[in-house]
Amino acid sequence: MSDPLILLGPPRSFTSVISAMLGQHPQMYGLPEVHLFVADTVGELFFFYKITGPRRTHGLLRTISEVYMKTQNKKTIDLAKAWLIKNKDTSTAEVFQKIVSKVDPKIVVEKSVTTVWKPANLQRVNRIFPNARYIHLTRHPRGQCESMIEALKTETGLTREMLDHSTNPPTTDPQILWYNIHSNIVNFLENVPQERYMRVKGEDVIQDPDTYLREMSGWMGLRTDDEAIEEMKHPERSPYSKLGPPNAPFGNDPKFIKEPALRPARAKVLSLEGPLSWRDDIPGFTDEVKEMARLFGYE
Amino acid sequence: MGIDKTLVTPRIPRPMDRDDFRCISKEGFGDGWNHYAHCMAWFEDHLYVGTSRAILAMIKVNDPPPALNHWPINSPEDVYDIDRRAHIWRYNPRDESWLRVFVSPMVEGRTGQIVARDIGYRGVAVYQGPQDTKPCLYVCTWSSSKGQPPTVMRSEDGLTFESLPRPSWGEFVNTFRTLVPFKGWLFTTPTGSTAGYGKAQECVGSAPTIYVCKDPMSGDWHEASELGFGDPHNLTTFEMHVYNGYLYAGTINAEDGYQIWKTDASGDPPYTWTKVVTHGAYRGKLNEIAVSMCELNGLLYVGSGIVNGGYHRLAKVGPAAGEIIRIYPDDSWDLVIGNPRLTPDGLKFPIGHMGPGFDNFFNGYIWRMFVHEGTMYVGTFKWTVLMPFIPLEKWPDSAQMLVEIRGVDELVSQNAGFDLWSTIDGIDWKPVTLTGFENQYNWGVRTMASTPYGLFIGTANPFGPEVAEKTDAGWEYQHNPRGGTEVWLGNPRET
Repeated sequence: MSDPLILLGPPRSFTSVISAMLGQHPQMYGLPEVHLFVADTVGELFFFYKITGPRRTHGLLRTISEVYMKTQNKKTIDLAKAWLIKNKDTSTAEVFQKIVSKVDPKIVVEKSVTTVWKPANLQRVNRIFPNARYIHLTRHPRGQCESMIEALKTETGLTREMLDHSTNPPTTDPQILWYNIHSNIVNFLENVPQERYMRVKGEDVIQDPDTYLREMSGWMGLRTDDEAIEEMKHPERSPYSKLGPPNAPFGNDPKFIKEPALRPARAKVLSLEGPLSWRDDIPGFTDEVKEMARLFGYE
Repeated sequence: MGIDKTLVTPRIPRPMDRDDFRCISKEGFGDGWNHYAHCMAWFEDHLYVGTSRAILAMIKVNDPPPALNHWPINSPEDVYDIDRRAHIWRYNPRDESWLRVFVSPMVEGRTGQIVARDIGYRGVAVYQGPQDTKPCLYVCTWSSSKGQPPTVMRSEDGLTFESLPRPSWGEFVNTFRTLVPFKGWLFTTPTGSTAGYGKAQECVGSAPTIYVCKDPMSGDWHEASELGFGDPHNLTTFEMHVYNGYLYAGTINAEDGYQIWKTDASGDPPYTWTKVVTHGAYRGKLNEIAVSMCELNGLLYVGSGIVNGGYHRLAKVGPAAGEIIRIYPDDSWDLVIGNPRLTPDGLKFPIGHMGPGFDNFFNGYIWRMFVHEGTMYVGTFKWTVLMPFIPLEKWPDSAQMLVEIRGVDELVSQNAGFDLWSTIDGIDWKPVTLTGFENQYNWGVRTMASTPYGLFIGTANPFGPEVAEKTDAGWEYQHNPRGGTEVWLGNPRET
């Protein structure tokens, strides 16, 4: 039984589509966002759901339903929920390990955005799966931030982590989230052996999926033949890429669920310099953000 | 008298957890009106604890009072009907005995009424002045609105205390809390004032000046700084700490947020001061007070708060929880616990990976920080216990949402009582207790002392002697066996 592959990145960094593509590899199994690394027990996980909103339960409910009952409908979701309630004292580690063993010999791919919120969550992954591999997905801060601002028009509950509290009232500025999450990831990976992680620009994967999907599969020691790569280019075939039953419709980025198919696109040329479209009271990205973006290879 | 080595087992220091602490005094030393263990010092192999009395009774008569549906403790309309004489208690760890060594005298107050001279002892230092043949105890007094301005007490033996001439502060000053020895001088600053009965200003002194004295027995105090460091928005200098060869001082600033200043105290007072941190570390007035300071591993940690425990009623600041920053020897700083923000000093996000109040809205102050055996312990003031008495419709959406999710009863049972956290590096934090050692009435860690016998913690617990309990008939006042200050002792247990 192999430890999972964990994708690490801020929201709006192509994590959903790339995770789904990796999950379509014949030797891998892509999960929706199960958020199991935010808590030690299922009971604590319920408390997390209570605070952050019921939508975060959908990914785990759909996974249990699909993995154990081979389908997702209203009844199987209710059964999954009942099982979790009954097992609220069970550790989240045990739940995840059950899923991993159930899909074995396929390797689980996981990408919950909450994993990178706090170093403690990343440490929890490391404790549960000491041999896990990691892909650190990056995106140019301008592209990621503008996408976050766009997301705020339709999604709630995202603002808290990207407020600049130096102004009164606080100003929404996604570069704070971008920097915070990437700092968490970079600091965490400093203590992970180099052979167990790779850093990939999300834009590169979207622009040239054949090359980068093959590179990532090869790094995992998995098949790199054309058939495998072709299958990976169909994230829409994942059982989690479409709306789920009415009692658990999501489990992934709603934008991705709406349009899950891969749309290879040439990456826009973006600059770290210049004004920000979402605020005009500062000249641009902070020095810290620019420095980290350059570390990732952005100009 | 030497240290009893049989009680001081050699061991490898480690951060303590909840099970390492035990209660060594409760119910306000047997008097529920002893609400706060307000100061502590280790002196000649004994622990000294100064109390403050009837805090919630005093708040009830002050203007403006907190908007509560029902007063949480049974207290008279006239606070002077209560015995408000503050105590000093001494603990002998060798036989685990307590002795009350001092009780405030009654004196004629400024209105002619006979009143307790000291209603609290808010600070203490061990200091040797030029007339002292050895280090002595120096204690800050807190006087009532009808009493005389506060002064300094001195004791050579820990049993008898004499009153010394007070600094030359104005008649409106009623309390001070810091006594900091630095370069052979003793520094202090007024941290409370009153304009008469019911008109006390908690934390805010009438003159934001630091005073300094080489010989407290002579009463020869001098002004060590200009008023408010030249900024009229600095209402008070609230906390001071020696770090890296300088004296650091933190202010209360209800307009812009606290400031941190430092001086090397060279030359004669008043000294030259340099501003180190401004605008509440760029959080603004939600970091109104620099409440606590502590050095860990060569860095100075500063905890913040808002007057009145998280909501400054008079200035309408808050509610909000406190933050922690840390200052480096070159005067740069990092955010440790708090809200991320862009600042002229760079992008700051919490290196301790928690928001204000250790991710708890109710932690209105980061009240005390203390290092013991290489670990820093940080205690908060948390007001969750007041939730049953608060008209929720007046509170911010975030607080109302929390109540909706968890309910008042669950919030109080699972959340009330101070937080105590430990850290060895300011980055990784572990909770020792999040419920005031399982006592919802312990709303704050007010004082700590690191000693050869362990870490002593004195709590703020103003919910004695009788607390309001909800019954079928409505609110009723009942004896509170967990009300009144408690003292806890932490020692790593054998594992």
